[in-house]
Amino acid sequence: MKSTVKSVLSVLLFFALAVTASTLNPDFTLESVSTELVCQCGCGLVLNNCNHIDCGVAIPMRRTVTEKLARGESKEQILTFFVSQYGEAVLAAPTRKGFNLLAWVLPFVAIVVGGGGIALVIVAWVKKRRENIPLRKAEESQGGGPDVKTGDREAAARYESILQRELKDFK
Amino acid sequence: MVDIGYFSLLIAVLASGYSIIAASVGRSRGRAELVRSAASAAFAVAGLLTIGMAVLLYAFLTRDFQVAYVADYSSRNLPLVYTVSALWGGQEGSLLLWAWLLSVFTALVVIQNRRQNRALMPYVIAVLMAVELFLLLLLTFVTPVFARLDGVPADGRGLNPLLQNPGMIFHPPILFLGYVGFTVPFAFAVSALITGQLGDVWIRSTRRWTIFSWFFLGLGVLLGAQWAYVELGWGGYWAWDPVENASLMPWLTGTAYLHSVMIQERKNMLKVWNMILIMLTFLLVLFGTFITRSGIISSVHSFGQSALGPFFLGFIVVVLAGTLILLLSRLPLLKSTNELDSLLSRESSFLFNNLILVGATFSIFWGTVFPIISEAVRGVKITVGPPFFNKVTVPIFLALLFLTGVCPLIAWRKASGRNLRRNLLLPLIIALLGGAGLFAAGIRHGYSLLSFTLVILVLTTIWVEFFRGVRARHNLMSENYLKALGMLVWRNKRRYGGYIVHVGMVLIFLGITGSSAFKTEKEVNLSRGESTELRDYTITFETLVQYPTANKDVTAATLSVYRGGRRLGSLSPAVEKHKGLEEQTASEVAIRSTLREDLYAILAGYEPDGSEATFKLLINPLVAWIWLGGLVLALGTILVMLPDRRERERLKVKYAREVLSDEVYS
Repeated sequence: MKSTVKSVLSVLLFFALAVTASTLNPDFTLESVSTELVCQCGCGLVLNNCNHIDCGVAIPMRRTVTEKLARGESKEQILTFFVSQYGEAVLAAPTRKGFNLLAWVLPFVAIVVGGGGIALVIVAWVKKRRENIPLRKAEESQGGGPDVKTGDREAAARYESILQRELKDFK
Repeated sequence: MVDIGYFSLLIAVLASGYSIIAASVGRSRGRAELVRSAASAAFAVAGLLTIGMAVLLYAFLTRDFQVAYVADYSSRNLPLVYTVSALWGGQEGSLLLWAWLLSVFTALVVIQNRRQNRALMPYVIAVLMAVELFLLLLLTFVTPVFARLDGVPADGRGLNPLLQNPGMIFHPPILFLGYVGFTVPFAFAVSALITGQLGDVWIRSTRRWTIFSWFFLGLGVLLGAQWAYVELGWGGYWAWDPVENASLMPWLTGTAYLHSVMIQERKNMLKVWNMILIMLTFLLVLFGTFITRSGIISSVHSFGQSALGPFFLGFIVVVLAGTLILLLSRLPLLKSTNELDSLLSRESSFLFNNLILVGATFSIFWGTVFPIISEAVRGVKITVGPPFFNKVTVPIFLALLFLTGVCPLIAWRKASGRNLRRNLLLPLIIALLGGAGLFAAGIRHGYSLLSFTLVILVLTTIWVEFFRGVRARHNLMSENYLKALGMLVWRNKRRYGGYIVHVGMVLIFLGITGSSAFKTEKEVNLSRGESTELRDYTITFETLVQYPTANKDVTAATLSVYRGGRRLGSLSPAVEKHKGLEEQTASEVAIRSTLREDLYAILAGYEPDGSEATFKLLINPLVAWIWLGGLVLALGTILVMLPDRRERERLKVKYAREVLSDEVYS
């Protein structure tokens, strides 16, 4: 059991490293900036995706992004510029500060808290099971007993499940 | 003619109201004849709504523009198929379609349960008819579908050109089948709570309805994605639009429910949780409708400002409060002997699967409503769009993919670490080798690497499951491998059908990963005859032609596509200006699709003389696997829903007991 946990953890660690390694890529293009902005023509799509023919808003906005990139401005600078022009709603995602942080954090907090809760519940249910069946509890604490071979135990479990099923059907 | 439709809806209001009262009183006073008449009233509602639908269809086909709805959503030059689909092109018609489907489903449920579930059925009818009554009241008094104009306009306003696509014929009705279908398990759940019959009978009785609804909702979402992909202005196949989110959420909780009911069936546990899940699913269906129709959150799907928002909100509050009170009052009865044999078991793995699915739902819900919260708290309008949802949900969905691979390997009741290791070792090695191979091949995008590796892991675990089953049959029954495979799947439809559904989902993941992480795009202005390079493609702008059709002016470009000096074919992206009272423009993309990648061309602008044009060109890898995954999903779902003789035998014993306890009411 422990070694399973260990191997699962090491696999997860490997992927965590792979993920962090890949996100360190400061590559600013028209595309990478304009997917962070919302077109203001009313289409409600990210700037990169507004495909109104000759859109009077998207095309000038994209041009501005291109010009600013050519001038060497960073993504942050460009986004700040658009916020000063159109307000915070021009950003396709909430900023990661102040009240907006709640948007980013709460889903993960909910999952972690929920996961913790489920883990506690499972432990409690397993405990209840063990208390309700003292025989099983005794068996567990003895680690199966020295005189019972593993094969026998497996066979016993198999017969028990067959018995349970047949009893159920018989009812 | 229109009057017939209007009056049939009015009578349906009365009939559904009567049905609710008759069913409830009949059940509580033990008067079977009242319950029977409630069922008859439900049939009458189905009949009346069928008439209503037929009348509206007739009005569309005969271009009866005096009907405001017909004038708003069609015009004389609209082709026949889109005239039919215009029926659900707007607010009122789509509501009528919903009400009609619900009435037909109710009739089917009554027929299905003629000889069973006599204790549950009266309240099932009452709940279904209550939802029906709500819709009918909207259709007759709030946004009357048969409302008439004072004069008869010479022509209608026409159907939005974006809606003139085959997607419009299939996507809305199929999505609605799913939306409406979930009302059935919900109604059974409520009835189980009212009657106190809280075993798993209500779950087993609605298993096929649940799978049916889950499947059609998923298929509807997928068809919507496909439509968005081929029709421009919708931002690719998935734009995290509030309404897209709203359709995904009940599907996710529905998926959680489909998994967790298995624990109740096997161990009689999680009764409260399953109730909560199906109620949540139904509430999310209502919430989705509320979002679409209230215009409260801006969306590409909105039906514009309408009066329906407050009514749906009110209905949501009533349903939420009602079900909560009911649930709380039944809590003592729902107490189950919650016990687990082991920390490491299929049961506990399902709990985590539920956590992830509900967590994903919550994240999407939270992101969807956060703009409203922000405006209420800070007074600042903000947007929560694709960058947010991608960042938040991708890790959650990857966790889900991981569980899809591992959970089926964990035994019911109690799994030993040794056993799990043995089952997992080979798939894990293959997946890691695959991942390493992809890394060596130059894939450095972390999430994608992880996603592809998990895809390999899940596919291998499923393959191993099939292989072991087939080998066992081959050895024990000396069947040849093909026959063994057939028999294995046929005799365990739920299990292996479920695996096939998993394969479908994995293929969808594969397509999403490939197309979102490895997209190549370029916007380019070309003169006629000029070429441009896109990765290893060479694309030449050949001609631009303009021609009129019955209801639109088309401007189409022709692009020749070459790779490695070989001509692969041509692409014709076009722009269509639709004629009508308001001129509307739609872009028709051109796609060259292969299993490896789609070459996707958009005509973004042009000189009227055809000398120059602007194109947006994209390479979207692996997109076709999303649609293929949908097909596999369909295959698995059909298998899971097929009648299973062995299952029926098992259920006979259970039902025998139920029928005994039902005698009192019959």
